[in-house]
Amino acid sequence: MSSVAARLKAAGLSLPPPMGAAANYTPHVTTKTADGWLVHTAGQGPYRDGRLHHLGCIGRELDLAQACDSARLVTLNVLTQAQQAGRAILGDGALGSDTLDRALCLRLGIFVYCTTGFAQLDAIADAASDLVLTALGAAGRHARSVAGMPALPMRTSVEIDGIFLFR
Amino acid sequence: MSGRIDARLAELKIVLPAANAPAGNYVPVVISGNLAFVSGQIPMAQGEIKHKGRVGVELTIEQGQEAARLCCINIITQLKNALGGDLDRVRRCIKVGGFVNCEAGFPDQPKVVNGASDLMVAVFGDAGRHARFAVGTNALPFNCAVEVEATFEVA
Repeated sequence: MSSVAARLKAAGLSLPPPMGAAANYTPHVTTKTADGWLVHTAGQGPYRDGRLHHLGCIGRELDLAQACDSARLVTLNVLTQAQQAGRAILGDGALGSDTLDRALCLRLGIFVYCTTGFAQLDAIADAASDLVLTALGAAGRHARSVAGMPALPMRTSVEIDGIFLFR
Repeated sequence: MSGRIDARLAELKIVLPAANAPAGNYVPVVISGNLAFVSGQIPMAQGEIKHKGRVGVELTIEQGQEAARLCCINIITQLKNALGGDLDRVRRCIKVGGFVNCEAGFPDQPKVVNGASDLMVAVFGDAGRHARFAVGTNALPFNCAVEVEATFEVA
């Protein structure tokens, strides 16, 4: 069975280092439930190399291709936070592999900073969802919501939060 | 019933209002297993909405923070009601979701939603530390300045 790390590598992707919280909240919270450990990530932004990329309004300052790039970068940050939570739950190097190999993605919440009436939210959300499926395989099949917003923190183009289950 | 969290609320001079009825066909709190989901709350106090309009236009960021704080007080009220009056059953605030009424391009939602987050930590201590999202919106029910929802782990 291929691992999350191997699938990401095959796709030419790697997870960025975890970013801290931008305000008075924590990047991920773990809750023990009857089914396993439920992990809620905070809303993530398109961080790479310690700074935000793809700032601005989609449909005016950014085109669809840039929006999809932004959504993929945000999704990698969501996966990084889930991985961090997994390490705290399972210990580093659990089963001699990445902790994300023990993760199901249950849900993504996708917020898109865009012009009024922007019609391609589904394509942007699919960029995020496709990446989760690429990384986690069948364990990446999730529910989601996507909504266009007139403003996001720091003029971030895409913000995504995730709910994962570790077993 | 009066417990540890009730005492903390009293210390903070916070008097929980009566729980508001839902504004539509939904329930204020759903508890499933050890998870409690609280519906989006608005800045109500003394039976009226205290902060209406857009943060950054009609309202300052400080007024937005006060609105978020009021939303959080209403969240705690709904939760207490759903827990049979016993807030000591709260194990953790898992997640806060903040919607800020603002004009296009407003960048300071995190500062505004801190009004709710700061209160959550003040009331529940480390157990109040949560993951969250904060976003801008161009319309909220009744033209409220802020709407906040939350998810908790409960016993």
